[in-house]
Amino acid sequence: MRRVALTGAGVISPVGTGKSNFFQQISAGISGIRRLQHPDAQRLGLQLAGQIQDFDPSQHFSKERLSTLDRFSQFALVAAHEAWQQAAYPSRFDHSRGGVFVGTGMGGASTLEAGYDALFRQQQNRVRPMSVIATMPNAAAANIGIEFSLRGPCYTYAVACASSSVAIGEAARAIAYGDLDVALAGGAEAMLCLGVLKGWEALMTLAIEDKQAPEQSCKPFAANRCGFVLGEGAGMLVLEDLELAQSRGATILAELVGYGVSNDAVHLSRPEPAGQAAAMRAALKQSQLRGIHLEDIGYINAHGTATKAGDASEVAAICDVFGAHRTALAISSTKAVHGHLMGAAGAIEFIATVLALQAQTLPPTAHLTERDPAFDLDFVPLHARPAPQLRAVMSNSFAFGGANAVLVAAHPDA
Amino acid sequence: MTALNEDLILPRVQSMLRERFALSEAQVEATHALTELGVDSLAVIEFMFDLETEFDISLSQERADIHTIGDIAALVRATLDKTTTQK
Repeated sequence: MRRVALTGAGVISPVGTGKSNFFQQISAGISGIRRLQHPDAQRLGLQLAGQIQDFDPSQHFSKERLSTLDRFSQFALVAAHEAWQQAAYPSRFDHSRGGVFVGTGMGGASTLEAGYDALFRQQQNRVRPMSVIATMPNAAAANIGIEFSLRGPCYTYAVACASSSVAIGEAARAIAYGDLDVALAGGAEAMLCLGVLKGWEALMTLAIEDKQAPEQSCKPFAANRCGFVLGEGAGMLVLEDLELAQSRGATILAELVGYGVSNDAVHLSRPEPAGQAAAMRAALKQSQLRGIHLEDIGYINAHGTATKAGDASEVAAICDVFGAHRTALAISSTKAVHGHLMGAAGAIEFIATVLALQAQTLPPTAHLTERDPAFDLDFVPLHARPAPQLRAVMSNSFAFGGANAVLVAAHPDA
Repeated sequence: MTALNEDLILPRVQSMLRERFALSEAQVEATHALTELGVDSLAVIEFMFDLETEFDISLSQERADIHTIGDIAALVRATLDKTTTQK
């Protein structure tokens, strides 16, 4: 089995475009949750979102290209460019040894909704010609493949909130097995459209607005937590065969040492601590092969959706897996500030985790003024914290449907 | 565009092409092929959508062979004729 290096990362998120901005904001606990800009916002119960409001697509794409690109593909391409640029991958390579692995929950949701709007609300009898091409869930992956001439597998994973963790994990697996030398992997989501927002509203998992501080409405692990706020964006990583990366002199951000998955197989939405624990154990078992043990994990970027049941389940699962080591662990949920990016959540949170490892700094759980008294863990409340000995980190993603995916990264010198 | 003079169709198509694809007057001669002008096949489909709006016609059921700019104008003319007959 080959080892897998992370050599590039790119982010476009509600708390900033570019990984430096992103990490700076989440470390400062500055929220990207704002008043939703949408013509039908007043029809929504929760009129807040982690919306990217300063994004001008025409700065990145020609008018012709834009007609083929849903917002989720635009985000994916922007993040992929940043990651690829950082990796400084050589322009000449065996393109058949390069792959694309993208996770998304709903693909081109806004294009689909625009089509429905034209047909049903505006009573038009036609939709835009690029509706199919822009909406298809694999559009982001396909566009990345074309953009970077990656001619190996080009896959899209729809595993709800775990989509992009699975995408990254499967890319790592393909490299570890020797099927590929390089991959662009991550996730993208852009589903802040009325139909989707109404769907989430009906499911009663969205936060109730904090009237005093709306930007603080999502409060993971807090006693008064009441759900999440939807977000949009993308995170992409460049994964490479570690030896090849070293031989070309690439800067290695971290090594991806563990990927574990499980399926609860009990309920469509209720989280299950046993399934979540199984995924963490599977990731840790793989990490051991690289000499990273349970005690080496210093930080977990939690799934931490701030729902009553979700946070309780995750805390129970972490305590079960880590036992006595739980007291030495730091855990935070950055969803408090960037919202829940669904199919892109795993990717941007894993990038947050890797950046924390690089910076030896733990991003906080923002807005956590009063911890749930039932949770006896260190959630890095409110303020970032230096972690000079941080050797290995974990990122959790738990999906509706019951699928769980966990990624573990180690410091390149670990 | 009910009273559209036939002679006006080609110039209007040419003008739309110039605007959409940033082409020069010389490039949009009736005999010129779109592919030779570097216009992508998907962009042609988008352009057909614009034509539907401009001329108030429906092209989605048309399967004419379109190679040149003149072919586009001919298709628009034929579809307009058909629409008028049906009305």
